[in-house]
Amino acid sequence: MSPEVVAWAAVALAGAAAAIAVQTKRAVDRVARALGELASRSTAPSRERAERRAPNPRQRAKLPEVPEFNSFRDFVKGMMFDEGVVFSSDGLVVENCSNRGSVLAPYAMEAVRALEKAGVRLSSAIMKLDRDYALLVRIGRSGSRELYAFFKHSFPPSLNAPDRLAEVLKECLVKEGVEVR
Amino acid sequence: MSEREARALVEAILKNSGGSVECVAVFTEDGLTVAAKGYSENPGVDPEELSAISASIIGVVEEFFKPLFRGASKPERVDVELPGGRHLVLKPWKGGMAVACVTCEEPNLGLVYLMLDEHVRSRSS
Repeated sequence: MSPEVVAWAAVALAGAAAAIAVQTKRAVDRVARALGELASRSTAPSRERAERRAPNPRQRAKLPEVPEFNSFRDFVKGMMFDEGVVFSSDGLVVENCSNRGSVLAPYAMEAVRALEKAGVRLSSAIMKLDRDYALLVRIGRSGSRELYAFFKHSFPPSLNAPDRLAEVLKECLVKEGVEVR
Repeated sequence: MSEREARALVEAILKNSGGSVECVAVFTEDGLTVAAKGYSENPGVDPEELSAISASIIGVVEEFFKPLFRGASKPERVDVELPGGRHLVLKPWKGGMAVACVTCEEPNLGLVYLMLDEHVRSRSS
């Protein structure tokens, strides 16, 4: 084989390799772009979807600090609870901010009593519901009865939230004229 | 109104009260028992006696209310706290009848009221 033929063959091979490299780079870019889009779609969800999803610990940390409230209604609104009811150990509603409170209270009290029958005295309970979270807290005694509160919230409360809530709620109820010890 | 309907009401209240209601009686405004249940487990309570007493309580409360609220009808509910933490809860029903519930000691009153209201309302039409 003459050296000219070899040279021409080498040039042709180099050209083909360059063409393949360009094609490959374009394909890789296309795949990378598609992956990037996919990643951005899954890591930056819409606000609506973000609300539905369970929050990460950073979101939990963003929950507001507990300020002082003058009424139970203010308390429920300020703490961004979806529902809230304060009830006594005989299942009667003491404070209520939704129509469902009078139905919720007796059944929540039945749950507390069922636990007591099993030898478990409830101080607070954090419950994961189908869509959101619920919090059941013992606030204190009022006369011969115990007072409890039940709240529903879209975000999971932290483990020390019930104690803080009970304290603030007790102050709030005292301001409203309810005797709590 | 049939006696069967009264018996169904009595059983529904007893069954759904989660043990808070121990005895139930449906009685007429002249104090006669139409249906009663739960007395065999609570021998201290006589259904005939309870019906007679409950009818007179409702009658007295009604008489007291007449001058206060002109043309007032029967009371929505009467709750008498008995010694030892029991309650006697009375609720007028249809056709001049009423329901009397004797609760256990320290009952879940919220549940008793809820059950009583719900079952009486659903059987009032």
